[in-house]
Amino acid sequence: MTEESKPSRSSYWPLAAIAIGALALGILAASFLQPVEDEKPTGITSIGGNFTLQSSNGPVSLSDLKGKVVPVYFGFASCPDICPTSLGLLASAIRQLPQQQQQQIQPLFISVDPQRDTPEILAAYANAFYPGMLGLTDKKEVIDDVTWKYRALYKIVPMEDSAMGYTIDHSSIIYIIGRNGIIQSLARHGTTPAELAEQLQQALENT
Amino acid sequence: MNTFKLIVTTLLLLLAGNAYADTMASQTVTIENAFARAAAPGMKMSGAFMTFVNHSAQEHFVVSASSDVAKNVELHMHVNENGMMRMRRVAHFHLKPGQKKVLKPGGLHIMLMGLQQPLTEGTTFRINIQFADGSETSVEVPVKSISAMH
Repeated sequence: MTEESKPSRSSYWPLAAIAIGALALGILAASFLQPVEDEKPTGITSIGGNFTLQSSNGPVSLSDLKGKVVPVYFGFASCPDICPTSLGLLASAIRQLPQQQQQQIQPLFISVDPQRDTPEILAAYANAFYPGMLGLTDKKEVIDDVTWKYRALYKIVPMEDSAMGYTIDHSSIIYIIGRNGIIQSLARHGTTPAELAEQLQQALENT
Repeated sequence: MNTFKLIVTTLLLLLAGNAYADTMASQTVTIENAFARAAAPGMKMSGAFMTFVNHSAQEHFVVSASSDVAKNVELHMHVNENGMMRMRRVAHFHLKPGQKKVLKPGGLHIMLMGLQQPLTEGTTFRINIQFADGSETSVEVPVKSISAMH
């Protein structure tokens, strides 16, 4: 009887298993609940990164612009339709923000068409949308490196039936880079100026 | 009887003549809301947009365009294929009977290439439009801002 009432050694095992499981769960949970370190970068780190491209006033690096929110658009200046629409959207979104916030934003237009777009043409082009917007480009190898980092797609397409000679198919995304040099959000084609203004404001506040 | 036949035939011919005149594209297609985007200094290209209204019961085609301000003027379209923006030349703009065909950013446009003069906001210039039936019309195009949407 006494022998029977005493729990056998083996019957402790389920309890032990539960205890070990709970401990493991606890450790796991604690690791998730630990406060994020301050230095941990906020934003989308899987794409993006620093680059150096040519402006009409010499080279410009993204790292030179640290402390500012940098919206970036990839396109080409002889695009009569999509690029002016996107850059117009960007300009009107920035203008919706208070003056003091506008000064903390440095918009960039990167041309994937260095064959037609010189830094001088790009300076005039970018300025026509927003005073201070920088127009950048570089050799094809450099452009290809930057577009790959940002996963911006472009493809040069011959137009044999057109006086244009060639056109460039391209993705149409505004990358909103935070003051920390890290992408905070993306504005896809069709975003409204109010939505984009909100995204810029969030980048200003969060970085 | 012969006189009656003659009168009927004459009337029919007159009607047919009138009908023919009425269906020439240049007489039955009107153009509204034309504008072009300003071209920044150094820019050799720009785009013009407008709305064609086909008032007739017959289809028409815009087959080409020309202008003194540009060496080459072409009919283009834009398509958004899964986020890739593709611009292509098209052979014509098809105007169905009664249709309002809107050329606007993100869709169809008239491409101006080899600009001979700067396109300055606030100025105007003319674009000539040629139709498939051989008729032609001309429209005054105001230059709006570089990012104008309409």
